[in-house]
Amino acid sequence: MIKAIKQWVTAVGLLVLSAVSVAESEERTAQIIVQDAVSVEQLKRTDLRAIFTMKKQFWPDGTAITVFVLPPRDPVHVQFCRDALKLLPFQLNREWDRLVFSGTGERPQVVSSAAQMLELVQTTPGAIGYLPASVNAKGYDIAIIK
Amino acid sequence: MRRWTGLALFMFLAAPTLAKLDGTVYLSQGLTYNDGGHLFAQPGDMSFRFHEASINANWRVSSQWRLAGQMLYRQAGNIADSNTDIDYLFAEYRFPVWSGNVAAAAGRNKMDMGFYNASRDSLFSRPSILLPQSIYQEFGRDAALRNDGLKFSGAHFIGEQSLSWNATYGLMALNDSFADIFLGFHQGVEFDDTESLLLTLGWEYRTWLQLKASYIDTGFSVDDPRPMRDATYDIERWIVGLRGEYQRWQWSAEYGEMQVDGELTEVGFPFENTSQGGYVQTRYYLLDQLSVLARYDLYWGNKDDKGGDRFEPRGEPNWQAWSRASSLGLSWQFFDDWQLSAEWHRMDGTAVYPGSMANLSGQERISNLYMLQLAYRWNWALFH
Repeated sequence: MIKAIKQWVTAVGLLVLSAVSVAESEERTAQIIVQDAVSVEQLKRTDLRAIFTMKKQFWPDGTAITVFVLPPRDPVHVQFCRDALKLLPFQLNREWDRLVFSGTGERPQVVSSAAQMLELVQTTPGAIGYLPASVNAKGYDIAIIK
Repeated sequence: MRRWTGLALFMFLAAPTLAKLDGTVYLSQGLTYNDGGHLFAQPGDMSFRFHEASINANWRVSSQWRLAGQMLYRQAGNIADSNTDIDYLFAEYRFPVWSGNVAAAAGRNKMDMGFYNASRDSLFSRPSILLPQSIYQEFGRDAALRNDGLKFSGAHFIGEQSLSWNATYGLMALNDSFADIFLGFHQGVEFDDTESLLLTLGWEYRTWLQLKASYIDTGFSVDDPRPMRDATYDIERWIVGLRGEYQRWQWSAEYGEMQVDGELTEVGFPFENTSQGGYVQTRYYLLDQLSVLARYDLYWGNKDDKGGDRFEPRGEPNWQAWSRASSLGLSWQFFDDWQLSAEWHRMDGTAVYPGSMANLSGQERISNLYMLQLAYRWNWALFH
């Protein structure tokens, strides 16, 4: 009986620890930002992935999506790929290369800094991008991953 | 050619009014050694005759309209002489539908057949230096690469799944390079009636699993300067593929058949042939920038004569009937825009070789092809 209780306590403890770990992981996730006029408050991860692989090209209201990303080796980009898209950065690059060399699509626009990302997402219709969680993006729409 | 030049000039002159203009410059240099075959050099010779270069531009004129073009230069040993061509150049109009997006393009379009055909000419967008020849044969490359006409495509998203499709109809852009590889020469050769239709359907579950099927119905007639050699070819081809991806692993497999119904028109002699082949491939990323690849590739030039009995009456080796290739590769993207790849291909048989090279002097049944390729790209962008 005592052995069984110990096993249950251990299992619950592990569950709590993993839940804390997930919560911390979510905190580290880069925040997704969209232009003010985009009437989207939440995005499923599947949709986010389809947008950043440049396959999904329009918002539900018909506005064309413009995607902004940070340079490939920027830690925030790497973190965004891993945490938000659940992809490795090279997987995303490979998709973009395939589109460009076949002519079947476009790659996203690469910005040099978080400040430029914020400025361009604010001023470009239908824009989507991401920022480090530490940047205050209050006042701009933030898409939350479900 | 004049119409393409006109469109390119129009794009250039209109550039100051662009909303977004970007593109890529791509350069690569290869080094090959083949101990018993002729694909890139004479058997036993090392060769640097493997170069690729391209420049492309993509102009997002408005949220609906896009103009894009790419020039491609390629020299691939004995497979392809130096050749510069417009790889794609088109105007595309896209619009939203309830489930995703649909587009129509007019001009020269790449043929999105199989997983890699449309993006086969850059080391950054293909899985290996040499693609699996059972599906992406060099001898049919130009006929399957691009056509001048219309392309309709779409992508639809339903929950975790997506469906993509395209239909491409137009004239194949057959050039002297194709004549060289198809007939062994190009002087006085003319191709006519080069219509082609490509239908492709793809299904994807997240990024883990992808199914793709392609069907192509095409053909052409050849005005051959040699006596009694004028011919017509009707070609039907289909390819099915499965690709899976999980964390650092990627697997892919494709299978295809090609049926050719032809006729020597001056003598009224019909002929037919069905080839088949496929491959399985896996790729593992040791690091984000470093991957290894293993592949087994199998092809028969005539599925009704896999043993090559048809070659024996002519006193030719029967290994022209099949090709079995085992490949190992390593790719290292040592900077964002630089990639170095190395590969070893052990090849048994020559069925995937161009016909004029399958049984040349010095060709052996089993040969080893070693390849090294260095590639660079520069992504440029102008937008405001």
